[in-house]
Amino acid sequence: MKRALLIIICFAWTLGLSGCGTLFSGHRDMEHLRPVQVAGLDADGDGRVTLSVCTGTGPESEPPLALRAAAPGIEAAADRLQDWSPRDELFYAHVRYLLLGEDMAGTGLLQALDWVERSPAMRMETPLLIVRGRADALVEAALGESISAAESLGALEREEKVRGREPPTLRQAAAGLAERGWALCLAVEVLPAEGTVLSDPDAAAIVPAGLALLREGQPPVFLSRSEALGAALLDGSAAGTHVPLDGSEAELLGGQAKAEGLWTGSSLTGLLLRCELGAGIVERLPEDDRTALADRLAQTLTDCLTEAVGLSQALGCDFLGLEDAVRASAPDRRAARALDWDAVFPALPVTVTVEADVGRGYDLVS
Amino acid sequence: MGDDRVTPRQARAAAFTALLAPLIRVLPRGAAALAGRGAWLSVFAAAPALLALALLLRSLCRALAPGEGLAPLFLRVFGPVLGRALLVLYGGWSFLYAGFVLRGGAERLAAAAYPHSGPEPFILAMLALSLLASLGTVRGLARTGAVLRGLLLGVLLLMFLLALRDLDPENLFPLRDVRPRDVLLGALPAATVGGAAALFSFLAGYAEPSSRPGRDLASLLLCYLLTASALCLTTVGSFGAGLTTRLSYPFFTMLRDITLFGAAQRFEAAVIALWVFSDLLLCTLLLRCGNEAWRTVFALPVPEGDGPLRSLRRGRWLLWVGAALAGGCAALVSPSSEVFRLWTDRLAPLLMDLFVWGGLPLLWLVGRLRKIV
Repeated sequence: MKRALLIIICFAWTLGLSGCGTLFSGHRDMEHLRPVQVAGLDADGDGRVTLSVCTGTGPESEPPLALRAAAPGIEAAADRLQDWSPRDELFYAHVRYLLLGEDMAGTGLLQALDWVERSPAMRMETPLLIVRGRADALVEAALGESISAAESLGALEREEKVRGREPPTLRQAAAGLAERGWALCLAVEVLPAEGTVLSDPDAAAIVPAGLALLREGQPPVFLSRSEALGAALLDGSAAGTHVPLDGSEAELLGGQAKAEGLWTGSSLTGLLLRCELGAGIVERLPEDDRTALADRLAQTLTDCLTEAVGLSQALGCDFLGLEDAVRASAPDRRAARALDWDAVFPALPVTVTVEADVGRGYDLVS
Repeated sequence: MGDDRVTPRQARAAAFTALLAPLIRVLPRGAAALAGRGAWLSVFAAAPALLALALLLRSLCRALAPGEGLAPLFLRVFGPVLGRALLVLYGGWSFLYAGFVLRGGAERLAAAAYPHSGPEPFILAMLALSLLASLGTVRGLARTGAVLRGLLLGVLLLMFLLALRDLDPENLFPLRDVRPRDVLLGALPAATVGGAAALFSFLAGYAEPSSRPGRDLASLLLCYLLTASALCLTTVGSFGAGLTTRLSYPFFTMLRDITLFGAAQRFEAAVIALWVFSDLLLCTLLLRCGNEAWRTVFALPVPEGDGPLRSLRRGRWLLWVGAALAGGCAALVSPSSEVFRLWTDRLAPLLMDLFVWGGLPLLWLVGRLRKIV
């Protein structure tokens, strides 16, 4: 009986250690929590960091808040942000987007990764976006009445998903950096809304800025639109992309560029990129026929692939993942194992061939 | 050992459940650091060594008298002086490793679920529960292990299935770039953790003989290797080998991101809490193993499993001494996280390898030479 009683007391004691009771734990009411939906990090130099956050609507339908604090560390900045209200607590368990400013991205992901991993609230599956410029400028951008940065970024994410692309998460970016030394992330920037549909002249718009290439300890490289399209062609995520063709416009319907090495004996002498894809006509100038559009599209895509590979070679960073395909095309296993890819890649001659078939859209019959 | 007997099924279940605690701590970070993306494959490379160890233990156990654990065999093989000295070391290591397990479990709880807390309250609570359980019967421990095995395996299986969605094949394949040497090296952590079960041979006197020892051994080994491989597969598949080696608890970090159809999430706290049972079982078994070693040194009788808790008669005081040693080790083993990491990654595995892969084969060899084994 005494043993049973002692066991019951021990289990009751351990239940008390679970932190679920209001007396001994940090219990908080839902009404006093402001969920943070966007968190941005900027490096201010001298080891200081600016943490900017955008919350959702408040418990009593208050509009979203954008807040910013600078401190020697991220957690210190988070503590400072908490000072804005003694009643409501910023709640980081539902952060939808993690933004890194350009300067912060140049220092690598370790600091952000450390903060997220140590935090019991945040998750590594949070989509990571690189901001061209400062993240706090995006978080605080005047987007219009009751439009938060989270909603704007959500719209961008939905557009990407329609094209079959998911924004890389912090986990994927950190894994890529650790595994391969690079990671590709979606880039965004804030632009003045002047000349757009927004009526407020002081409003700003969050727009996609292509792709950002992260490398440990180096400033991010923002891929131009054509370089990003070249990268998308190589990883098979170009479907749905609109390609302007000097007044006309085509929409890519799929297809993927394949890479293979050109070998002379056991030596790699070149790189061949082949791409066959279909496209639909989105807009056609009256003087353009399908053949001319197809030729122009093929040339445009050739230029995109050439620029993408050229950037990869100039940086000495195979962010297009060409190495595996080249090794797979080796004449034998010995040649594949003997290949010193890092040494040969930067100066490798590249040949690109693209065949584009432009289908008929809902043309006006002339 | 009287009627405090354990069936072979219960013994297997208790051993497997107890090994889950060091498995989570050592793998997959240890295997990923050595074998890279081949970590999930490297655990199978530990199979021959673990099989050889199991056969060695079986050979040693055949030399035991009914109801006898491994401890008296040390005296018969090495003599009263050297045998006792070795038993003091084995018993001491069991108690110290129990303390290390307590500390590891407490650190895991504090780091993963209670970041604003220190490990001390958890160490005290777990030590008290382990001592309480060790003062009971071995049969009770084994039965608890059998129940927990089903629970923990079920949870693991669910987590593995949910984690499949986030696996990136590029983190796992192709394997042609992984050197065979690295795969073999990657087997070391799995061999060290699996080999720790050899210490439970000190409790061999409580186990009923198995009618199908080969099948029992094969099923335990297969279950262990499949679990270890799945751990590595899901963690390295999610994070990549490089990131896995940087995270403190990669498996639990992976769990934090798992959602059930986007509706339920944050499973890691519940899973971390469940893993405390594995720590408790391992710690308790180690306290009993250390007790078996030291009571042989002092020629103490088998402790009564059903006696009153506060009774110190018939050698039960030794369990309190062992618990105090374990508690002292838990409190002092890591003044900082760097020191704890050193213990986790280097010192504890090295010492365990010394006692298991060094000491037990030596026992067998000398026993064979003296025609005792």
